[in-house]
Amino acid sequence: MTSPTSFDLKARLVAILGEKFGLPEDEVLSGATFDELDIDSLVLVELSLILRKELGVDLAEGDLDSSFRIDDAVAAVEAKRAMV
Amino acid sequence: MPGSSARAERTVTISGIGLVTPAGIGVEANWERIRSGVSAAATDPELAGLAVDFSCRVPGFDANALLGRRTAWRLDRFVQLAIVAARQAVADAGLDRETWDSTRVGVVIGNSLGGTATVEAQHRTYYGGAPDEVSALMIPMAMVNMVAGYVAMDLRVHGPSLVTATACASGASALGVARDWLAGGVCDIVVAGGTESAISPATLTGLSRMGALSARRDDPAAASRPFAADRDGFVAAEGAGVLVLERARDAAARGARGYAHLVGFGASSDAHHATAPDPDGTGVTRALRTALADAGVAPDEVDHVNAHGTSTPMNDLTEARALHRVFGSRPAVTSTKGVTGHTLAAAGAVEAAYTALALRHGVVPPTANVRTLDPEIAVDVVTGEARTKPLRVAVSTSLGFGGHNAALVLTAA
Repeated sequence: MTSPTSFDLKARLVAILGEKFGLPEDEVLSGATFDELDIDSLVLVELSLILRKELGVDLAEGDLDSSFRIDDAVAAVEAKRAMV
Repeated sequence: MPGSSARAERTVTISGIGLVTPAGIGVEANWERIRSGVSAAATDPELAGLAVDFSCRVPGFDANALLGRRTAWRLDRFVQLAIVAARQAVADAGLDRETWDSTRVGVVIGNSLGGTATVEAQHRTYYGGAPDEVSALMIPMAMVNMVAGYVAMDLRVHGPSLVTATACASGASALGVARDWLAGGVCDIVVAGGTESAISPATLTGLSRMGALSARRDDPAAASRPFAADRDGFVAAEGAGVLVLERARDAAARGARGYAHLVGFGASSDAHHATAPDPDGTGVTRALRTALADAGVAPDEVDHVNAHGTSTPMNDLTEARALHRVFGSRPAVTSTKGVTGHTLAAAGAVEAAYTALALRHGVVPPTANVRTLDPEIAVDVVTGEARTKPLRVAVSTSLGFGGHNAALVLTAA
């Protein structure tokens, strides 16, 4: 199985944020920070759990931050995957 | 009359009502259903296979549509119901959230069981061997106090916020606290009510094991029959009722007529048993007399009582004894739980709203499903059709597990 490209990964993350947290795609892609999207530290714990289950990526506390924008999150997930 | 001006200072106006109950969403839908006396109880797919598999749910409650998915997913249903009811109440009161002094607006909401569906789901995860999959949101979703916190956040108000927990008297307790905050000058506006959504399988099983619930699986719609000779328990319900309260002179000054005035509150404790009411009704009698004294109202001035009337054998007999002791058989008594089932912590607030609507419309709604009245009950229970009569003073009673009793006295606006 080939791993998704970063383009696919970004689309997947946007889809997850929409499906699980009710966030509109255009808002996520607008460059808003997670904080501005109401993704606080508790929701980041939820997001890490979802990413572990759906993408098999084991993010540690602190790998995601509420100051992140979507591209930062994509980069964090990719970095974690590269280590596996 | 001595004390009358001090009493006038304590009079508060119910200037807005929000209702999200098994009788419907919004004041008009609720009143229509309540006066028709048609029960909301039905078989509940989420309770399939349980000994009691029916309940009263809020029909067509779509939290995603009403609150937006972005907000709804992180809230347990008992909070969702309360936020929707609170928004309705504030809009109904005609208050402008942009211009009010938010530091002078308080929130007090009754709740008893918290986010039971959330807790049950997360406990399943934990005991299923996946503690690292327990949600970080479990605690903020489930805690009882969070409903007051979330309503304050949603309305962006910064006065005191509080959850009252006196079981099935919680909603009435909240209104009593609200009245005291207004009378004591702590707040200028209080958003007060009650909420409950605890019809999750393990919680409902707990109620069922107590013998508190009706077992009429073959005819759920006729199961809640307060004061009937053959009543056998209550029907578990969910819902929220939120009222906007203001000092009467403040409401009058801004031209708000309101639905009714809240003029008296009384509370007492049975100190008798965890769940059974004191069979003589001594505790609820004391709450009633305290509320009447607080209001400066004589028992023979009371035209209507919206009773707690849960449809359990013990509650209804105890309560009817107390009502008869205090009022004789003069007031028209009803229990709207025949329609709504028992919304637990929401009941006191929901029923205070129905009492205010009865005063406004001059209509006592009927107690649903009563074919034969319990012969031991000597009060004038309205059954069958709604009764139209001029109403000036009305009382709403609430009794909770733990022996909490509360009574509210309302007058026509």
